[in-house]
Amino acid sequence: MTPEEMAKLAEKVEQLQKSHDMAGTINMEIFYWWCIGLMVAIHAGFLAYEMGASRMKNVLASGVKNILAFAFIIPTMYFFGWWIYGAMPNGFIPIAATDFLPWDDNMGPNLSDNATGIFWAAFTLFSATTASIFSGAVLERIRMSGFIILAVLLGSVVWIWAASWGWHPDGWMLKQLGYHDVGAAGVVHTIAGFFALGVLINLGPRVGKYAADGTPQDLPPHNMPMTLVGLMLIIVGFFGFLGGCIIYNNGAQWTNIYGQQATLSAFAFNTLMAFGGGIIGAYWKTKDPFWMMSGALAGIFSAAAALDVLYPPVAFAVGMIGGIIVPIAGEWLEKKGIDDAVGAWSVHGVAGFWGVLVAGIFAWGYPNAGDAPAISFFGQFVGAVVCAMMGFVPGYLASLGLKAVNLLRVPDEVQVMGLDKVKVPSRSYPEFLAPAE
Amino acid sequence: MGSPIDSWEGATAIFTGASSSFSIGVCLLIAIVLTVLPLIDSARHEGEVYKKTADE
Repeated sequence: MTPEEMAKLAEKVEQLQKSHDMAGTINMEIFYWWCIGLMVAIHAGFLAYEMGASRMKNVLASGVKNILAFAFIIPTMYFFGWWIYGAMPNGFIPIAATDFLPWDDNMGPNLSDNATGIFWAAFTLFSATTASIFSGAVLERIRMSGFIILAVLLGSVVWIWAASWGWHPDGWMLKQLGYHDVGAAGVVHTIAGFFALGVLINLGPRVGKYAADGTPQDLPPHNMPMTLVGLMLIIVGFFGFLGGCIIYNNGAQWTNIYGQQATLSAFAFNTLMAFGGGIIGAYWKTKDPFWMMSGALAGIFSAAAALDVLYPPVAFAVGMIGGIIVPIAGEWLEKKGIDDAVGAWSVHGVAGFWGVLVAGIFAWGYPNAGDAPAISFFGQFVGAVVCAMMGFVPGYLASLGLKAVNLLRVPDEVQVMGLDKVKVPSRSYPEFLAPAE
Repeated sequence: MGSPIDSWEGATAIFTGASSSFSIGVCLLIAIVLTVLPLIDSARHEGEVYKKTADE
């Protein structure tokens, strides 16, 4: 081959390399783009779930609340939430994270950066999920303004801060504990569930939820089928959520959020097996379709932390355990006088906590990438407790403050009348369907 | 404000006002205010309708 031919060949190889790299970059963008689109189904699901779980007189107020949580999370994640993720992996002292600031060149259309926008958007949808989890627990009696403040605190500060600890490649929970939570059982679900619990303690139950002697009363959903469809939509969306939890590497194997090699096939095996286990477990325990669909979610969260390595029958079994324990936890909480209208603490808080422990039991000893310690039960247990506290303490304190300035609870007489009638300028159903008093 | 580029060749940040930190700062500030104002209005609206309901 002549030197000229060699030069031409080298030029062609270089062009092919550039073309391959760009194809990979665009594939990456496309993959996460559709994950984000699927994650919006989570919010369609939460919307239907919450409205269905409300009584007829509160349907629209519940819908407005849920929609606004999503809407307020988006700008606040842009203003400061994304920066918290980049800046807080060491704990409470920020590190330099200029790429994450809203005035950085990467935080808008930029032809040299195909990644920042799509990852910001994926994380924003994770954030909105935490806020929607919380939203259902407090329906029919929380003030809108107080709710928005709390939703932003959870979605754009608290969870993303903990994600910086337990999900960031330099997070202290990974570096010191070997924490493993690929599907966000702890950093999303445990935190959101325990945040809701902290708020519920200060918010108090809906009017009529407890008799004078403290006996829980049934406040049935006005539309159980809508609630069930909503729950199934949430499941659909979680396939996007979990897809967003794996890292696309151009020309190489997928990795999980911690840099360990992983496959989407593993996620597919274990998500579905845990989903099936959760439903069957909840059916076994309750025979109630509400808890069966909640059990489906609990099943997925039970396997989520170790979704990349579980043997699928194990995922099925831990999912089934999740499906059995969440109605028990929900009933226990109700008897304690805490009115969690949709079982958010049990489904997300308890099943998420269990899911983090599952990784400590069944993924014990798996090596981490880099210098982080191997996965251990101790590391997972401490991580689960940190997530629970990271949710509960801010939720409790912030709601206590809002209660003190009368921004937390809707007055009882307004609850009796119905929130829609008092503050929503449109009607949910035709006149012949009279709202229940 | 407006286009930060006069050619697509070698362009990187192409969003409105990308070449001016003043423009970015003003837009960001306006967006923050536009986020906070409806929240304040929500609190005001709720206070009013709850009071009206109590008075009735």
